[in-house]
Amino acid sequence: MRAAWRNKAVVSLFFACNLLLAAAVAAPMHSAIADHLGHSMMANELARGFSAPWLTEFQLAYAHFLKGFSIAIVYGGILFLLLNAVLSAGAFEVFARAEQAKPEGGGPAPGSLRWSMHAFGRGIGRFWGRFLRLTAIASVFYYVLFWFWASRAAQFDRWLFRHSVREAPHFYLEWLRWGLLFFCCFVVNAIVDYTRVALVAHPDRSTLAAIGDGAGFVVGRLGRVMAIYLGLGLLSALAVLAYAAFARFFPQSSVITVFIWFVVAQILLWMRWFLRLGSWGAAVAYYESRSA
Amino acid sequence: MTRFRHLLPLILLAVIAAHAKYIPDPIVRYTIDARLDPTAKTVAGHETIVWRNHTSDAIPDLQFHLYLNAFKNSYTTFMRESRGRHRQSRFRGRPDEWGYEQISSLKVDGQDLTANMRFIQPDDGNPYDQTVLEVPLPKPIPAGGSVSIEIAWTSKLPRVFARTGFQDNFFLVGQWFPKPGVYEAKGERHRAQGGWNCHQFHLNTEFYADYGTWDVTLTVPSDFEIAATGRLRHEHTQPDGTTAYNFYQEDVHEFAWTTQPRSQVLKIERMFKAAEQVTPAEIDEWLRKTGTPPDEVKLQDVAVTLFIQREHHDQIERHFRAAFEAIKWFGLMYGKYPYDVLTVVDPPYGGEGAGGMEYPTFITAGTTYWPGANKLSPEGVILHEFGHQFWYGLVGNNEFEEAWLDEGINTYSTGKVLERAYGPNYQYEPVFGVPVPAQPWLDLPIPRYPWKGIGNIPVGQYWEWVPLEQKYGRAKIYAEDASDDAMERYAWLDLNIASYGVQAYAKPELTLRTLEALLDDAWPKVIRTFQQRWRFKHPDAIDFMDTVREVSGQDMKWFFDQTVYGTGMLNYSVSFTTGEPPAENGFFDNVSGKPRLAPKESRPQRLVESEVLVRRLDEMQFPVTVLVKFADGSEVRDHWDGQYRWTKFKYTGRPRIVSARIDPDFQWKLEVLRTDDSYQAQPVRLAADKWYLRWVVWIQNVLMAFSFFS
Repeated sequence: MRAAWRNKAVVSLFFACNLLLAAAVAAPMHSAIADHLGHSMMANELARGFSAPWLTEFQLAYAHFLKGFSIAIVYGGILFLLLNAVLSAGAFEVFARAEQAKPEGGGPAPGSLRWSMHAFGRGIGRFWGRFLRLTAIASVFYYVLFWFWASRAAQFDRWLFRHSVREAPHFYLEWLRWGLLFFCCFVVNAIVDYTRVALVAHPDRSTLAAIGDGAGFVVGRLGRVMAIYLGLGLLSALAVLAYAAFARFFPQSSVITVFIWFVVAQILLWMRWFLRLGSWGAAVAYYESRSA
Repeated sequence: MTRFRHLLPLILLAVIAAHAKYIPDPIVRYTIDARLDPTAKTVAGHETIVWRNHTSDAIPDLQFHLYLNAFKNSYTTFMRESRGRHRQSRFRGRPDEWGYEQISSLKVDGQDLTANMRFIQPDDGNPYDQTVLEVPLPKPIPAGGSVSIEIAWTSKLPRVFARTGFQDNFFLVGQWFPKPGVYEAKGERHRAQGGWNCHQFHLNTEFYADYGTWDVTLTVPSDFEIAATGRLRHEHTQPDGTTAYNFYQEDVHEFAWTTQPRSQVLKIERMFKAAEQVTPAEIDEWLRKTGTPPDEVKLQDVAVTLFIQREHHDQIERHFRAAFEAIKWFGLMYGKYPYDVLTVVDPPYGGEGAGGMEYPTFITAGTTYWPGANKLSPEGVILHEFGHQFWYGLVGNNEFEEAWLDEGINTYSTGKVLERAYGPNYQYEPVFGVPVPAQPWLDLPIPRYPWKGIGNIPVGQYWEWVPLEQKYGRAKIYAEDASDDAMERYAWLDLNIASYGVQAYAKPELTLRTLEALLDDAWPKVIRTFQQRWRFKHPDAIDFMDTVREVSGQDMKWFFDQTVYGTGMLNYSVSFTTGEPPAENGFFDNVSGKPRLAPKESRPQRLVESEVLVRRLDEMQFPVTVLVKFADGSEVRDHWDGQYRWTKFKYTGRPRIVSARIDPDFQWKLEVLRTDDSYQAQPVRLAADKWYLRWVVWIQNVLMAFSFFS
């Protein structure tokens, strides 16, 4: 967390990429809404709050647009997934070298903006290829997980209760199914994160060797690793809840109030990125402490 | 003595009929004795039906519904139409899942006519369909005459996916016995000549039957709980481990029952006490609205029985509250619920196909293990199915031929009652400022990675049962499918199930909401009069329209021709131009009549000229009111007959127009697109900016979620 705080510029970089890409993907929606509303007085209602009739009509009149828009979001998501993999190479490099002493003969001190950016660029240059390979391998794991829990486990569940008149066992198994899916995803996510740490810590290792290292590290210390995720996840959830309470009760009906709401939302998102990068920093710190 | 034994039931029925509450001389009287075999999933029964020819025709044959034969094989009309799907339930076609109805003996006035039976297919000629049975008679039934029909039969129940059948040891037994069709006299429901009305069982149709009395004895295992149409009169435990229960009900046109082991189900009875549930102020309100004598507005007490799964015991209060609200509000709107019993059945997991169904004094609901607090499930379905006690039960329209008369009026009614009982937006929870429908806990399928199937996640039956927005949600499916068929059409002839849904539910609801707005104060009297006048009878659409004309004093033929019989939609738009006329250029005549070139940049003081354009964009033609507001705060209401494709209103000498709106009183619930119903001089950009920024934030979160997988 301290490493993330000392490298706020890196956090802001992730945040900015996220914001810019989202703004670009959402841009067609602005013109679609504006075109549909035109001079209609429905716009007054929509500016004050939400209008179900308008949404109904918009869905009808812009059905093709909405289909394309949702596809654009998915493509945007995949693009950002890849971008995140590349950027994370820089972030892990920054966190791995954060405690280094100031280099002899001058140069930027660790934690300074120049040092952060320098390490960030160096990390991307060194590791982007291996991080992308790692992403490709991880997506196979994720695919298998989702296939199993969404398809196989669901079929088993249906078969098990095909003659039943009691929903409770099925209901709790559904919860369990979701819970196990989340847990498995977190495990894979942790393995990916610790593989990255291993790659940065041992730049000479291959991706596969680093996966073995990361997996062994995570499985051997599953409780502590998950505790780190859980702690930061709870902080993130608290931030979301605070924002939800704010958004629920803060009026958004004028230029000023909409602007304030948007700024608050961005602060929340910055905090979430901070926590996300904090979790990477924690992974680096934990790995180094165990390896030392 | 033997002859006397045959006559005894007739004599008893005659005595009972003399005490019938609303129909002194019903067309049909049933005495049924049936036994459930829970292992074989069969019901073996014997029935005696006394059927009266109430017409002036001599009737040469009898026709019966054998509805369960719809589930006999994959070639029946029902199965061909449904392809094994009904609502959200699916029929898998395993050997033990099929159902049928087999008559072993049929006698009319003691004469065995079993050999005369033959199946007919009046709707589609499908030779595999055995849902209508015809029995030619040795001699016609004379006008006013009666026959005694004795039938022994066995029903194999299907696995429940469409209203009736079993799941494990849960049984919902409906449409389960041979049942006479309706013989309509000339003039009834505007028939040109008398004849049987006995349609095959279709996917998109329900039922139609004569009112009568029912004396039904059901034998089930003693460790099973049971509930049925009517009141339980007595029970008798037998040495073989079974118990016989006798139920009786008069003035209804159907009988259904359910049974399930006591270890799985609870049966709870509470009294709806009208004096406690309805306030004097509420009675006064409906006195004023309907102009009804005070005694006719008062409700009666009802014994409500809840047959609920044990695992849903924490929802008992929700079920009772919904049932009580329904009895109260439907009663105030349309006249008291006239029976003294009501049973609400909660089908179990796996038996959902039995849910959401109406039978006289007996309705099936449906819930899940852990529904959201504001989900309005089971409440919505209880209110809707109870509403059918009025629209199908008491006013017995022909559901085969005019489904909108019960489903449409009842959908409209359900929305009104939900508004009163639970508030207009009860089912919504605001999430980040956007109203999102309440959901059952974790009723979400897991999508496939990479996110295939996300579109199938039920983010919400976004519009279901929510009165305020419901109008517009209905408007969405109305707009998508309303042109495919007309409301007044045999339901099985509709283009597809989506079109049936629109013509039977969505469009009628929007039509009635529009009619309500157009008739204003007269509407409560109109709809109540229709209900009261046609109780225990079989009206058709013409009877409804005649009631509207008579009670409101308005000829609404123009409205019904377009909404009930037409396939067009309602869609108008408005826009305007306003401002000063152009600068003077060119030659203008002077005082002496000579052309004179206007000086350059001449702009003498001229009055503002404005023009409002109203356009008709679809087929429906409604009288149009336009509300025009001017910069000085003044306003004008102008009117157009709405016939031609467009018209213009010109205003000179008034200030600039600020805004114009058609249908300013929001009467047109049928209007497809409302955004272009208003126009203002300056567009409000904040709406697009604000929602764009929201989309940015939502997409930021989505992108963050994606990045988790990198």
